[in-house]
This record gives sequence, structure tokens and C-alpha cells, in this order.
Amino acid sequence: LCWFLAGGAWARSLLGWARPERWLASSSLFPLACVHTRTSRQKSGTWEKKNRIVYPPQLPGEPRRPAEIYHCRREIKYSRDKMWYLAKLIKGMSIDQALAQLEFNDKKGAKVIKEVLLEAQEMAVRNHNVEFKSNLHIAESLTGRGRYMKRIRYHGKGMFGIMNINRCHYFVKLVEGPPPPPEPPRTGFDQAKEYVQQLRSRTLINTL
Amino acid sequence: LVLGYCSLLPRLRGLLQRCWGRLEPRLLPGFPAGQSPPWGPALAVQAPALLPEPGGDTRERNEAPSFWDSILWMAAPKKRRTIEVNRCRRRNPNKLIKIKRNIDVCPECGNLKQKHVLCGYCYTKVKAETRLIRLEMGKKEGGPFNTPTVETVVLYEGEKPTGKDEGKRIIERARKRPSWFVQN
Repeated sequence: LCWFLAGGAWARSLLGWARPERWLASSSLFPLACVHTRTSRQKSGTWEKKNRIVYPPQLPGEPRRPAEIYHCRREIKYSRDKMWYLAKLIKGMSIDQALAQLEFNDKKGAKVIKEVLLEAQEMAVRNHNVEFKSNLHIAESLTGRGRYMKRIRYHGKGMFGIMNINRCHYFVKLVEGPPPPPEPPRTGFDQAKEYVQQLRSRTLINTL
Repeated sequence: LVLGYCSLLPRLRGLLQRCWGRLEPRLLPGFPAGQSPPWGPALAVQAPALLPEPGGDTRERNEAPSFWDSILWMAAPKKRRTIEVNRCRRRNPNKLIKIKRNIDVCPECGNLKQKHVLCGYCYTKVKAETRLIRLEMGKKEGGPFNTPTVETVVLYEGEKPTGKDEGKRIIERARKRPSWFVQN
């Protein structure tokens, strides 16, 4: 592997957690070490970067822009599909209601998501100028696939299968303010109205 | 005449053989002409003329149909389930987690609790105190199977045994009485 990793990069990839360029004073030995200081797999997450955007100051007449807090946790030892059910449960709830539901849920991911929400709430109050910690609601909650490890699962009669050790990421976006009212379910009457509207908006093309 | 008679015999034999060849399949339809019919002892009662093949069937019945034969009759999926079909099944409302509507606030500590369950925080508090009381009891008894046959009373700092506590075992705890442990 070493021959195509250039310069000091091979030393970094051997021990991804150790940062030799930090130990040495001001990159004396590895002059180009400060350019990319991550291993190939540790991509800088886009979700973490979303907290860094700064909007221009609002004009006096504009309505107040609600605070948005993005938080995530990476490489949770849980399945992405099982975590999705919990993410779907708390989508659109206020943070207090979400914490209550997660506290009495028996799934393993519920404990993890509760920790993430509490961390995000604390971050909001400390760093993002949120006045009341209860005045937050969950705008988005997503799951993503982490790095899978492949292992052999031994069956009888010398058969084997290849099993995946699943890990997942969890992303949450908290927005200040009360949760939006749930939209009413689409009735048959609404569908009929839309259909009639579609029929009425038909025109003849390529004619006078 | 003798010469004519001698030349007719082989022809007669051939004719007889041919007639027997034609008759045989009609007499015993279970056997083609080549095989010999089992002219064994016949039953007096009407019974099927064909005897079972000796030894051949029993061998077949002893062996169970092997795995490679029975896979032809096993259920197997015909087509791959598309992701749309899979999503419809996985995201059906009966598979989503239902919202719990039986969560309240504990009046003692203010934590959340389910309506039909004891408050978790208060329970751990009481459990910790009970464990310390039991340690004291263990120290007093000194070993297993030494439980006295009298009642036990737990007294905290600054409390004296009253008249009602005559003859009871007294456990001292070196702390203030907790608010939830009501004294008799």
C-alpha cells in the first residue's frame, strides 16, 4: 500500500488517531502535513459543517429567522433500518415530547438518540442563542449507513454465510419555536377537487 | 407321405410359436412377450394375477426422498421483491412505533413516569437506601441464618426507641431521616 501514498501521508494512515504533525512544533519535519489532516475514510461530515453557516444581519422589517441547530452522531453500533423507525417516531415533535417517548421505548437506539437530543439541546442554549430549551422542535431526523464489517456466519454441514456487522449514523436538526401543526390527511374530496382542476386546466397546444 | 409329414413339422412348430407369441400378451397384459409369466401357485380367491416384484419395492420405500429430490417441491420466491414493495411493507403504519399516551410527571421528583409503573428515579432512591439498611442488618447478624424472630425498627439520627419498640430489633442509620420514610 505504501508506494502510492505520497510523502508523510503513509505515516498518518498507519495510525489514524495519532497526529504526528501536531506533536512537532509548527510542521518543521513535514512541511505539507497541514494541507489535509484526515485519513481517507474520515470525510469531513457535511452535517457538522451546517452549523457553521452565518447569515447576513436581518433587516428591521423582516420576520425573525428561527435558530437552527444541526447535530449528529457517527458510527453507532445499530442497524440503519431499525434506527429509522425511531427517527420516524420523533419527526415533527417538540423536544420534550420526543425525550418522553424515547425514555419509555425499549429499543437500543432510543437511548442513543436521547443522548444526542440532550447534547443538541445543550449546544443550542450555549452556542446558538436559544432562549428557552423547551422551545425547540425536531425539524429533520435522519439515519445513514455507517461502515459495515463483513464476517463469516457458520451454519451446519460446513455451510457458511457472510454476515454484515451494521453501524449507522444519526442526524437531527432542531429548530426554535413550537412544532408545526400536522397537515390534515388528504381526503377523497381533496383528490377529486385536484382531478377536476387538472381537467379544467387542459388546453390545446400548437393551435390558434 | 412320410417325406411330406417330415417337412411339415418345422413349419407347424414355427406357426405354433408365432400364434403363441401373439396370444401371450393378450393372456397376461402386465408382461411384455419377452418376460416369463409367473405361473406360480394361483390363489383360489379372485386376486390380482400380478405378483409384486420381489425385493424391488421395499428398497425404494426404506430410503427417504433425498434433499436433492424434495427441493423441487419446496416454496421459493419467483421474482425479486422490488424496493418499492419492500418499502410498502416496512413502512406500513402497523409496523411503525406507536406514540405512548400514558406518560405523566411524578409529583414527588418531577421526572417522567408511566401511569401504571412506579417512578424510576424514586424507585432507585428507595432501593439504594434499602441496600444500606440491609448492610447494617447483615453487620448486626454477623452471618447467614441468624435472622432474629422479632420485628425490626430503623432509627435515624436523633431518634430514640419509643415504648412501642419494646422487644424489637433496632437498626441505626447514621443519617437524617429521608422525607419519604414515614416514622410510625
